[in-house]
Amino acid sequence: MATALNLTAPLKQDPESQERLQQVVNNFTDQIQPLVDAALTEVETVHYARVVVVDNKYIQVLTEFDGEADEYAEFFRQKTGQLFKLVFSLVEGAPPWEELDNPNSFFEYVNSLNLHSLGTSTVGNEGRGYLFSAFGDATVREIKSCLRLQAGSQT
Amino acid sequence: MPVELGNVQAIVTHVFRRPIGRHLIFRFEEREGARSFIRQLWSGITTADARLEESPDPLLAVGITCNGLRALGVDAALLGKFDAIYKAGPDGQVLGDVAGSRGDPATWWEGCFKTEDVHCIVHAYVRSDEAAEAATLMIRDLSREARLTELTPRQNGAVLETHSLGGGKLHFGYTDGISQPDIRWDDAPDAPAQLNFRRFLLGYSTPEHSSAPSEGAAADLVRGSAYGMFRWIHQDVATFNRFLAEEGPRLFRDLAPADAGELLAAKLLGRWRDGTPLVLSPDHPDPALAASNDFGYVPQDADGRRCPFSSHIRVVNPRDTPLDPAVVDGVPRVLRRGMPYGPPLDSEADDGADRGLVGIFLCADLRLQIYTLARWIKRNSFSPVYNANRRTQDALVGNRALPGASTDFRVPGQDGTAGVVNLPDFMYTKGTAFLLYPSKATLAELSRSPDIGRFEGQR
Repeated sequence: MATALNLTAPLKQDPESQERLQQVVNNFTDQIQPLVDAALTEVETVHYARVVVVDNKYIQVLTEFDGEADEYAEFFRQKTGQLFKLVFSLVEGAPPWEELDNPNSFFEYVNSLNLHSLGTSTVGNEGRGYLFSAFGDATVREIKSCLRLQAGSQT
Repeated sequence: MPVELGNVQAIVTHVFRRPIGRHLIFRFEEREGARSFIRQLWSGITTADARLEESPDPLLAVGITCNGLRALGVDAALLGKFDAIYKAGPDGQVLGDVAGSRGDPATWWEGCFKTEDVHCIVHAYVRSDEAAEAATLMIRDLSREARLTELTPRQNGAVLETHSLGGGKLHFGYTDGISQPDIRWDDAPDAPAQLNFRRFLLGYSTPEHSSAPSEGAAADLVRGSAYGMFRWIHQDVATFNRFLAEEGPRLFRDLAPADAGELLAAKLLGRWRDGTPLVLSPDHPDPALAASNDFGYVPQDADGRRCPFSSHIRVVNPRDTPLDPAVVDGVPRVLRRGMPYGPPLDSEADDGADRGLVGIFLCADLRLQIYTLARWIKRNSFSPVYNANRRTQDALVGNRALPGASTDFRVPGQDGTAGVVNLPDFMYTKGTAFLLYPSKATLAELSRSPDIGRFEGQR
């Protein structure tokens, strides 16, 4: 039963912040991606995840994950805090990381940036708009388990 | 900063052993009235340093919702620093109170008022019916003088009264209150089995044991207070009794029908009805073990043959069961203050009476403690032991109407084969409020004048 995270935040436009943004863009593959990869592999609840920059004006952290909107906020703060610290340092109006780096403030701030999708939820994404799912309410663990069974039956 | 127990409400630190409890629900109508009500109540609130056995009736506690704090005039900037879930109020979806089911939040409080109208709940615990009447009268007098509106949660206008059934029993016949967290109330090094008081008390936040508000004036305001969930739960005893009588003998064919029903009752909870943990005594209750709380599940019951994985106590307190990587804070613990209401029923036919439990669940972080447990109850997906089917629910408490949930209760037998029964709803929610149980200092600050009160000299 998947839920979408549509975290969307305006980027600071001053030259220094924009330069740091370019550094993040350039270093993402080597410095950020392995950290995210390790955490999401470990948690086994995230279907897909990506980070998008729109015209250097907005940054988005987009994922589809099993569970409810606030369920894994603490896991992500503790395991991928470095990513969020970096992202929020580029975001216009974001409180300093020292203020956000606790369970309640982190959850509340992420929640405030999490946009609703258009439409009405059908399977999962309860109360957060329409989210198409080709797999019904199957979870990452269930899909992986089916794939393992299939692989086993073919060998 | 040491905890001053004279400042903390006794309901946070103690189980009140009085046979009758009354729970009076109010809405504040205007700021000065609200403040004067809190001021009048102040000296009567029972604190953690009181000698409870000797204290006269009533033992008093008060909880205030976020809307109640707003009505009291708490500054919006301060309120903004409070726990996000407290501010938002109970979310039926997270709590498993599925829309369209009997626990639908739209039907709470018997439809008499809305959850957001609840501003404060006063709990009075007493020894006799006369004392209950006297306490109710006195609280109602204060509320009238302060121009509060009492919210009666029953269509017949009756007050919400909890009543001991004797022997610490709840309506399904289980003994309650055996397992309570052992809390260390100071900063001496925690013993391994003890929990840090910061898991339950606000205003002492550290990076390791965080709570909101975490610092500054808002943290000063709430120091010594706790959050709590007030939960009114109807229990369907007839369905429960029928389930034991019908499914027990089907699952445990070698046992006499009554014994099979008893064993199934134990499998649902994880303890025999006298309290004996199944892990320690899988075949029969043992009076010597009835109060036992010193046990784990690994390695003696790693496959659930003694205590099924979905039994209630194994879900809400999995002890040493391995947890998923996503569970970064370990097993959430809450303090339970529960009491039954309504007449007992010893039948498989429903008599139409309302009965169940009024619970107060105390914590310092509603999301990480209360909501996490609600999710584990709804769907047992927090540990690899559920990998065979992570859609199963808490065998006793789960709402079976939850989309995508499995109603299978898997009961592994001693020979390794598993019996499976289809779980009905044994209970549903009739009302929920998120409250702050303010410390005496917090209450004084909220009312701005702590020195007068009708309860003077009672404590």
